[in-house]
Amino acid sequence: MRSRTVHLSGGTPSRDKLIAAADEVGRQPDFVLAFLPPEENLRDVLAAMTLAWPDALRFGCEAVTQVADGEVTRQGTVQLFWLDDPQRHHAWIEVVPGTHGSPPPLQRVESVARRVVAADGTLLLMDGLRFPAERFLADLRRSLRGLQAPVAGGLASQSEPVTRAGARVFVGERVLPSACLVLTLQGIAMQVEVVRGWSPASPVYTVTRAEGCIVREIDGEPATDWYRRFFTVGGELAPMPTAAYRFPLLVEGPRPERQGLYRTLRFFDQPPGAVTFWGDLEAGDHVRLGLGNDASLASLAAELPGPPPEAAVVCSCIGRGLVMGEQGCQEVAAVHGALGGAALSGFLTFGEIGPTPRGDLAYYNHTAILVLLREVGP
Amino acid sequence: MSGPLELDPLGLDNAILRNLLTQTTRAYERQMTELYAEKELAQVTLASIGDGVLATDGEGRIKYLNPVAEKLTGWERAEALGKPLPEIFHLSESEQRIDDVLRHCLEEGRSFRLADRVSLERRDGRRYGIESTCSPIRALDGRIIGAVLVFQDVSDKRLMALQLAHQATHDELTGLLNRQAFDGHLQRALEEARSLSNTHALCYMDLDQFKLVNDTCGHLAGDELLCRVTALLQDSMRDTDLVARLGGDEFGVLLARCSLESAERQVTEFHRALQQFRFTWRDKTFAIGASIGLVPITREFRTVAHLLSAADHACYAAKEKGRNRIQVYQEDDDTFVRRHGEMNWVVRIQQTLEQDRFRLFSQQIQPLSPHAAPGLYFEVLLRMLEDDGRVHLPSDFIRAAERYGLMRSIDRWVIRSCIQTLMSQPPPFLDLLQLCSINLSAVSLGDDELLAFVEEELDASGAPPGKLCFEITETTAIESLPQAQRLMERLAARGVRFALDDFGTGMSSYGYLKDLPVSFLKIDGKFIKDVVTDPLDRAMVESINQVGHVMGVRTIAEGVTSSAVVERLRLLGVDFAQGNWISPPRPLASAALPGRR
Repeated sequence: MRSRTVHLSGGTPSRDKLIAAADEVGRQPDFVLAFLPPEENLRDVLAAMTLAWPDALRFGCEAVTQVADGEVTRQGTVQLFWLDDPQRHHAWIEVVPGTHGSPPPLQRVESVARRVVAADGTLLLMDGLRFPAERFLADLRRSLRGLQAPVAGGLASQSEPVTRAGARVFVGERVLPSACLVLTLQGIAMQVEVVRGWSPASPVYTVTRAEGCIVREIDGEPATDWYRRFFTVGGELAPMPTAAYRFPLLVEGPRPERQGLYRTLRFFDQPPGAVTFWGDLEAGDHVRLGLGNDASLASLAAELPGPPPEAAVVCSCIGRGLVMGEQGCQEVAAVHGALGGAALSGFLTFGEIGPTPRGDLAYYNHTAILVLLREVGP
Repeated sequence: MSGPLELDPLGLDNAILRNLLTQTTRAYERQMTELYAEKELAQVTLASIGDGVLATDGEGRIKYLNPVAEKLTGWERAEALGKPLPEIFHLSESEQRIDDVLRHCLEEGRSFRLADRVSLERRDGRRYGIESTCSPIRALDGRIIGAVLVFQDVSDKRLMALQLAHQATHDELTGLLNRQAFDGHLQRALEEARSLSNTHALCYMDLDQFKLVNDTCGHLAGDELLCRVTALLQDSMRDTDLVARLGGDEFGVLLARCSLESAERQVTEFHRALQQFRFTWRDKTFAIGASIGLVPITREFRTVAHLLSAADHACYAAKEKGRNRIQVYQEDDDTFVRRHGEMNWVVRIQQTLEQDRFRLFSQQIQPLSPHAAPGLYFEVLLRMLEDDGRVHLPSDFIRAAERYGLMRSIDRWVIRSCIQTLMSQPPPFLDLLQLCSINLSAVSLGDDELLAFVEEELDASGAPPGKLCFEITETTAIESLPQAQRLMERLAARGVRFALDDFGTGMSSYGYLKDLPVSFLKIDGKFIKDVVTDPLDRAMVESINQVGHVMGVRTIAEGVTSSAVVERLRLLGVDFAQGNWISPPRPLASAALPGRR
C-alpha cells in the first residue's frame, strides 16, 4: 500500500493540484480520507475532490484542527491511499445514521459488529455533536461479545461555540449530520495505540449521581463543591473548565470495561451544582483527578516495535491540545519523524475511540489514538 | 496566597497540585484512621471469640495467635512469631501432619479440614481434642499470602458424645447394655455363625421373685436387687461375654465363641451363685431364683427375632417346669410347640377384638338355700367366635392373651359389654337380677386404671353396682394383694360384690378373707365332683362352707354334676350350686329367664 498526505492551503483546492498529488503513483487513489475545516466552502472542496478522483472512495469528517504529516494545520488535510492488490485489499464505507434521541437499531449495530469482526481493521468517524457515540459504542461492544477486533476513530469537531454546521461526517459529496462512518479494511492490518498520558494524582472517589455526561454528586457531595476543593486557590475558584483541562478525570472501574478511561470537563456548574463532561460517567464509577505523565504520542511512536507503517492516522483530543499548546505541534512533528516519514493525517477530536487496557472498545476524552496501517502481504 | 487570576499557568497548576496533595494527605490520614480502627476491631474480635486463630505467612511461619490459640498451644504470641507452624501446632493421635495440610492449603488455595478425632498437644504435654480448618489468606489481587488456622477445643463435646453414645446403648440402672445395643451384637453373632461357622450361645433369664420383692419392699428394693444380680452375673461371665438388661427383670447374655456345653457350665455356675445369694432389705430376706433359657446360636437361625424367640421359649419352658432352673432350647419340645401356637392366637385375639367377635354367655348359679332371695344368679362366660362360625372356649386363648398382654383389653370388653347387655334388657330383668358375676384376670387386677374404668362404666350406664360381682381367683388375689385390696374396697364401697374363685386350690388362707371385702367363696369343682363319695372332699367342702359362713361369706359350689351332688351340698349347707348339669352356658342376652332344674 502507498499513501501520501495532501496539505490543503485554505479555500477550495484546485482540481489540478489534487490530481497532481496522485501523479507519483500514476493513477487515482483507491480511497481518500479527508479532515476538513467546517467552513462554508466545505462542499466546494468535496466537489473538487470528486472532480480530481471520481473513482476513489472519498470520506472524512470536519475538524477544527488537522494533522498533515508533521504539521498541525487548520486548512485541511487529505490522505490518499493506493492499494497494491485491489483484488485482495479492500475498503468499504458504511453509513450508520443516528440522533441524540435515538441510537441506531440493535440489528444495525449487530450487522456492523459482524463486519468489524470479519475485517482486518475498522475506522470509525462520527458526528461530534449529534450522533450518540457512547451508546453506539456500548451496543457495538456488547454485539462483539468479547471478541477483540482493531477499531479506532474519533468524533468530528468544531470550534466553540458550537453551531449547527460543523462536526459532521461526509462521504463523497454528501455531508451527513448525525451519522457514523464505518470504514472496514480488508487486507490492511490496523494497529491501534492509545496514549496513556495521565497518571492518578488524587485519592479515589465515587460518582454518586450522574446522568449521561452530567455529574451531580461525587462522594455524596455536589460535584461543584468537590471540584472547589481542588481548584480553589487563595480563596478563589480557578477559571473553570480551563483549569481542569490539566487534571482530567480518570475512571478506575469498578466495571472492567470502564477502567482506564479519561474524561474532560466541559462545563462547570452547568447545570447548577453539577459539572458536565465531554463523555458519559456513571453512578458508581471510581474516579481520580489525573496529572500528565511522560507518555506522549511521540514517545509511543518512537517505541513501536517492527518496521514503520505504510500510513498512519492520529485522533487527538481538543482538550489535550489545549493543555499541550505549542508542544502539540512539536509532538506531531516528532511522531511523523518516529514513523519514518510515513504518510500521516489526523485531527483534533471531540472524543476518541480506542481499546481500554483490557481490550474493550471504549470512548475517551483527553487522549490521543494512533492508528498504524500496513498492507497485509500474500 | 494569591488568587488564581494572579498566577501564571504554571503557578496555578502548582497551586492546584498543592490542593491535590493536601486532599490526598487528608484522605490518606482518614483511611489510615479507618484502617487502624478496623484493625483494632478485628483484633478485639479475634481476641474475644472462643476459637483459636493462628495465621501464617506464605512460608508457613507464624504471624499471629489470638489469646485462645495461645492458651491451647501453650505458646505466647511474642515467642511464637516467626516460628514454623509445626513447631507451635503439634497434632497427636493422628496420621495427618500439619505441615502437609498447610502446604496443600497454600498450594491449592482452598480450605482443608483436619481429620476427625485429632488432638492438639500443648507445649506442656496436655492434650485437647480439637476440630480445625486451615484456609488460605489472599491479597486483593488474589495471590495467596498466608494461611489461617481456626480451631476449637472439643474435648468436652467429645466426652459428652461418648457419654451420650454410652447412654444410648446402656441401661441407666445397671450399666449393662440395653436391648437395642444387645440386638446389634446378636446380629453380628448371627452373621458370624452363618459365615464363619463360629458357635455362640444366648442366655435369656427372668428373675423369679422380682415382683414379690418390688411389691413387698418397693421400687428402690427392686432396683437394688437388679444391681446385685447384675454384679453376680458379671462375676460369673467371661470378659468376652456380653451382658444386657433386656427389660424389667429380664437379662440376656451373649456367650461369644462358646459351645453349648461350655455355656451350660457357665450359666450353671451363675445359677448356683444366685441360689446361694440372699437379698436383704431392711428386715426382710429373700431367696432369689431365675428361670433361664439357653440357646446355641447356629446358622439355623435366620434373624435376631427368631433367635430371641427361641431363647424366650426356653425361658418360658423353664418357668413352666417349675421355675428356677435352666432350660436348653429344643425345637421339638411340646412346650415350645405350644408356645408357638400361643403366638398365633395373639393375632386371632386381636382380630376378634377389632371385629367384635367375642360373645358373652352366662351360666346359671342356682340357690340351694331356701333363704336365698328369688331371682337371677349367673356367671358371665366368654366365647370367641371365628369367621367360620367355630366357637373357642377361654381355655383355648386365655393363656396366649395373658402372655402377650391382651387380657386387659379382653377384660374391659367383657365388663363394658356385660353392663350394656344388662342395661338393654327389658324390665323386669334388672329387678329380677340378683347376681351377675364377671371374671377378672390377674393382669386387670394389677391395672391401675381398671378402677377408674369400672367406675366410669357404672356412672355412664347407670347400672346398679349391687347387681355386679367380680370373680377373682384366690391365687391372684394373694399374689397381688395390695392392688386387690384397693380395687375391692373402692368398688365394694359402691356396692359391687366380689367372689374368690377356685377356692381351695391355692393357699386357702382364711386370714386373707379378713382383709378382703369378699361376698362369695366359689369352691373349686375338684372338691365338688366326688363330694358324695370322697370323705376328704366332703370334709373340705364342709370346712370351707363353715368358715365362710362364720366370716359372713356365702358359698358357691362349682362343677356340679348330678342331683346327688346337689343334695349333698344342700345338706352341707352350701348356698349355691353351679355346673353344666344344672344349666349349660347360654348366650347372655337370652339369660333373661333362664330355666331351672
